[in-house]
Amino acid sequence: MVRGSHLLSRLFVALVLFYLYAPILVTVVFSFTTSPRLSLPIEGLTFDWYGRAFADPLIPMALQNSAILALVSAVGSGIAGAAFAFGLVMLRNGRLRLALLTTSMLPAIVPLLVIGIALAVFFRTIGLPQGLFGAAIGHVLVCLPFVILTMNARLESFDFSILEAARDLGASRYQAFRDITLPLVRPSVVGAALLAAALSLDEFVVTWFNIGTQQTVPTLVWGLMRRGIDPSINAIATLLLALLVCLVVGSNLLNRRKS
Amino acid sequence: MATHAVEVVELRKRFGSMTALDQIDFQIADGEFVSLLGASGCGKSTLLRIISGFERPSEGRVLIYGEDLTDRLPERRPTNLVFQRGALFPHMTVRENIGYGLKLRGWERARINARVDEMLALVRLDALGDRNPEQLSGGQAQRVALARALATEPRVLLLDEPLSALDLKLRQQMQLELRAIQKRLGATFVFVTHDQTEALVMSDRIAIMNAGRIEQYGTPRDIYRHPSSIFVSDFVGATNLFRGSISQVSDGEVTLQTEVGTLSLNRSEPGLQPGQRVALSVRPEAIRLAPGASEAGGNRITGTIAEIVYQGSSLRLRAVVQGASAWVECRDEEAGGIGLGDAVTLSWADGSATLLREG
Amino acid sequence: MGELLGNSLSNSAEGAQARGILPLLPAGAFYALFFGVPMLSLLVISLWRAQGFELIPDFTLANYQKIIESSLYRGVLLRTVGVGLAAAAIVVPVAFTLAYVMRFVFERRGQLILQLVLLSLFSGYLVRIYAWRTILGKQGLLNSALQSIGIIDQPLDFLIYSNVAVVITLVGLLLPLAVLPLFSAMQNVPRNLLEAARDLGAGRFYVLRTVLVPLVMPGVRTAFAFAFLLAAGDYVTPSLVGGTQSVMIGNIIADQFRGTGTNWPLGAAMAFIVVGVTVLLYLAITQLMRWVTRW
Repeated sequence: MVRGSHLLSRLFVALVLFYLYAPILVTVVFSFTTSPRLSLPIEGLTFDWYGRAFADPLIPMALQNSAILALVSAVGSGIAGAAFAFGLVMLRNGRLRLALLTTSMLPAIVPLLVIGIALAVFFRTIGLPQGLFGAAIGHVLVCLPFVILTMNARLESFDFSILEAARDLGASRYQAFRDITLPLVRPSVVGAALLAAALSLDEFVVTWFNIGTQQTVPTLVWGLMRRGIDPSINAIATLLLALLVCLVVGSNLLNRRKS
Repeated sequence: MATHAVEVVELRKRFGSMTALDQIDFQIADGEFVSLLGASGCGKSTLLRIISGFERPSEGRVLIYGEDLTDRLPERRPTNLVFQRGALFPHMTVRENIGYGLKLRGWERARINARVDEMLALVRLDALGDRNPEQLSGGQAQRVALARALATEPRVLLLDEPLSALDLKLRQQMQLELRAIQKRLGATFVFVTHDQTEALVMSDRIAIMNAGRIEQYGTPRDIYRHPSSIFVSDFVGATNLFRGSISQVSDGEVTLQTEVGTLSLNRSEPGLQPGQRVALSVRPEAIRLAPGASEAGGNRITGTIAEIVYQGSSLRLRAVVQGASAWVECRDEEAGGIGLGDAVTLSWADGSATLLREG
Repeated sequence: MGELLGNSLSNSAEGAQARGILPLLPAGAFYALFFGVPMLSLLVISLWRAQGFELIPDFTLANYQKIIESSLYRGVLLRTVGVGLAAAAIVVPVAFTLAYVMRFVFERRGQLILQLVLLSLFSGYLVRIYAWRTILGKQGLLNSALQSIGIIDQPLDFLIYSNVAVVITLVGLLLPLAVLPLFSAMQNVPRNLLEAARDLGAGRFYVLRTVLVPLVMPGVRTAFAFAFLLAAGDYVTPSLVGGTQSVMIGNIIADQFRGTGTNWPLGAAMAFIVVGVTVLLYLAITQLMRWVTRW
């Protein structure tokens, strides 16, 4: 059983991967095809759609907003999430730790739709107008669970006795943090921040309910999708995809580094 | 009287309802190598952590060279700790690890480098200065941890079972090295271990701990030859415990009724009463074996060999005496061809037996 | 002196506890203010009434009543739950098998496969759903391919703008998320446990059923939670590939908040009903799973 039929297993994995990547392949391939109807056979290749995509007047604004939100998410949820994960690991009470960890995962389980409208209603109640600020809060909220989860996994394998060693040699609490903790944990924090940036760039639902008249790249794409078949969507999507992949791969590499 | 290097006064430590340390009072002299020996849970590591400053006692005081440091933060104490698994900083080289304490004290680079070289030579790791911790073997890592702790010339070095993760041969080698370094530097070492052989080999004095108390504090020979309690005699080395009660006490002689028969001691020990429950502790290697049965009594008993264990350089034989077992250890030649089922006489010198009170 | 003063705070037990809470505060406060409070206020609003464009604070269960009594809403709710369960029913076994293969058959390369699977998560949520529209459409890739091979003459129209399309798309979206907890759980099962069972005479599937599954049950429950809850709560997928046939509760809720007929209290009530129903169902099903695997 454990050295089972490798062929069957390979076939299975191949099928699953094919299923998962089919839509991605389609998007990338059709961003280059000439036929606007997005069906076979493929007639020719072109960069037209990319050109059309960039010609859209809303693109610059959407890009800028997405970038701002990604930055805010990365920094905001990166720092707050890393700090929270630290606080969790330091807790002596195991039950409290588990309870807090599970609670912090809630925004990932509650439907994004519900979070989106809850925030919209809340902001309306306190008089905050729709726009980037509200969307930013939504983004940080959505990113935090993932940052906390990643950092928690990394910190569990952290040998805390080295901090005691530093203090024993004469370092104050602050010095131990600065000289030992920070350098060792920094790659993971940056990795988690990159993850947050990727999540933010892709975020649609919560944004849509809170961003009002502004646009981000996903809301822009949504608008285009609602209007009908438009191959430039594939072009934008492919570029977004490339960016996201870079961020995630980068995040993974950083999370693997031990020091 | 010279000031003690370390003095612990009426120390108690409670964790919630659990008492980890119960009335610890002891002193360590300047330049001494003292081991805290005990099984896990006896409180030895807690005591060490209190001396180093990472735990605060519930009651009592810690003095180092006469100065009351009970309330002092760990970074402000003249003690350094060698951690069980080294706790080397993974993102620094060996040199940077060793020099960390010096950098914190604001030394200039040249001076740091000189001291680091000195330390590397001391632990014989001269060529490994630029390695990273993950490239080191277990023994090398522990030596770096030692060098790092010694670099700042602490007045007292605390070692928390530093050799327990090493394999036997390496451990034995390190034991001798550590002792040599300690003697060379004239430093005071406080060494925590659960391995009684380690403690016997390295220490000037051993404090045997059990359930948060120090059962006996003395030189290795004292502890081995004259254990003060059943726990100590059982914990350090193997021993025979002939249990029974006192039948008669007179001037210069004590008679006991034990599971292996009537025995007597030609000694007077204070505070003994007839009827008191006691155990006579006799080490296996202190027992002489003679073939054939003979009259029992005093410091002689008769039995039958039930088991023989060959240990290479020695033999261990178990004799059944009136239903109870007595172990004997001797050299192969000394056993003189005694085999299973043979009747034998076991005897020992009066001074080799220790009378221990039960309970 | 300073070190002693610093001590009374920093070395005391109370000081340590106070400092321990500090790093938890920023995220904790954020959660409380921007998650706890809005969810609570949404709950409160679900008890209000809407008149025209005005919101009238009240304390009434009228909204909940309206939803429960309406066969339309009940129907939509049922479909939502149904689609969620269907997606979960496909996702969990496939994820289990995938995790098993990654962990026990491929071992070291299993990690790489996991990375590939997870990478698909980060290639654009909207984009992948939209692409399925391309694939499943009447003139889409799947139909064209099947037609050109000759398996069918007419395009299969149930493939798009239908419940089937929604389930197919959701499975692709949720599979990676479900694999994670299962793989992680299986990592903690030493291979020699399974080998020991085989050694004692158990057949392959018997070992799976009696040794592996019980050991990774928590992972199965988490995977099911992800798959079911996220599928039922998804809003974009039915919008893009569901058409009018597969309107799910998410669409209706969204309409209350961003359409012309805005009725926030009603939408809020719907949202809580959905969350409540899915959570209850999740608990019921996992309890069922517990009973079944006890044997």
